[in-house]
Amino acid sequence: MKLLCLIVLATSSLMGCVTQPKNNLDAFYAHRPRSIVVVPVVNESPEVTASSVFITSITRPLAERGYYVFPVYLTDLILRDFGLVEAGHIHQLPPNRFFELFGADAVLFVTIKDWSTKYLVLASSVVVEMEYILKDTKTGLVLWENKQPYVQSSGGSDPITMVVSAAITALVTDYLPLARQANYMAFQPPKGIPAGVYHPDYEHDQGRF
Amino acid sequence: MFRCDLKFVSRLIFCCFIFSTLLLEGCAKPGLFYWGEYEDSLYERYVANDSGHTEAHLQESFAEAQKTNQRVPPGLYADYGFMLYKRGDKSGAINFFDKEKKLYPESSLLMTKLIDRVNQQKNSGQLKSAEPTKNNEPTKNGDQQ
Repeated sequence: MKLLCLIVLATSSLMGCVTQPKNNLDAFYAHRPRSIVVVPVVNESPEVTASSVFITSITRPLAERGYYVFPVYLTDLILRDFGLVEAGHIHQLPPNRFFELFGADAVLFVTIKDWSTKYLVLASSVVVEMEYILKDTKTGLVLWENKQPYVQSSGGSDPITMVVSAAITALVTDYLPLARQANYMAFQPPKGIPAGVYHPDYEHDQGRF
Repeated sequence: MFRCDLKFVSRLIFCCFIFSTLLLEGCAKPGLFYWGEYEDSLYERYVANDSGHTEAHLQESFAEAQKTNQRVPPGLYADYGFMLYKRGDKSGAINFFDKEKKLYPESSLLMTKLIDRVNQQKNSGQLKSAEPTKNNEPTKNGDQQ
């Protein structure tokens, strides 16, 4: 229990250190997007399924912030129809291309930086880390960005439980709940994205960012 | 005495941690839209490469949203419309693209494009030309770098 207490304290003090200066949202407020198209994600992690698992988890948290989010599956098919298959290439396109194709106010580029399970002696921790960059499709300006790792550690004070949970994590790591949680956190204040037009806080939450 | 206190404090901290996690989850729940199994349907299509339940999942979302008086989330009507289009039901597709456009004017430009395209094919009788082939569907491994 002492150990647990220390871990909790260490984690919370670490969280304190992580707090970064607030985003500059001048460009965001000047161009206030209503709609966002999420294009295929660039995956820098060695886990090959990361991008397809991730893309299923992005629509809901973003739409729940009050934005019109273009359906991701249809977006993929339309891009493919135009020969735009490779995510790295899609991320290099001039943002106004996404206005021409979709009529979207903003485009969200996501890069998966980390998507892995790290093994310690008796415990393991699962890490997902994404970089989010939202750009205005008419000016190409960066409206908002965020990047933070989301870590979940398994293993507890009881050595047997630690071994068992480390073993279970080794068998199948379900990254989906973590990706969902990471997205949810990434869009919330203070570093998140201000509420969109479908959210009751629209134009009333400036003080929180 | 000190040991006992420490134990109590650490338990208290642990409880607070659990409670705040629950609270956070609780806040996330009542949303703006009724999602039903939409995320599961996406997961099946992208990760399991199986679109067999897509129709049922989407229909359930529409019916339940109406029943509970909640809003259908962005993109679901368009998603369903495209599924109908792929199946060859052009009138159905147009109908759902139109629903998306009415519910979410932000989608207007794209929906109008799609409706025009389906209408063109309807008039020219060309079904194959713009119909996505199986190879065009997002694949299991997605796009790498």
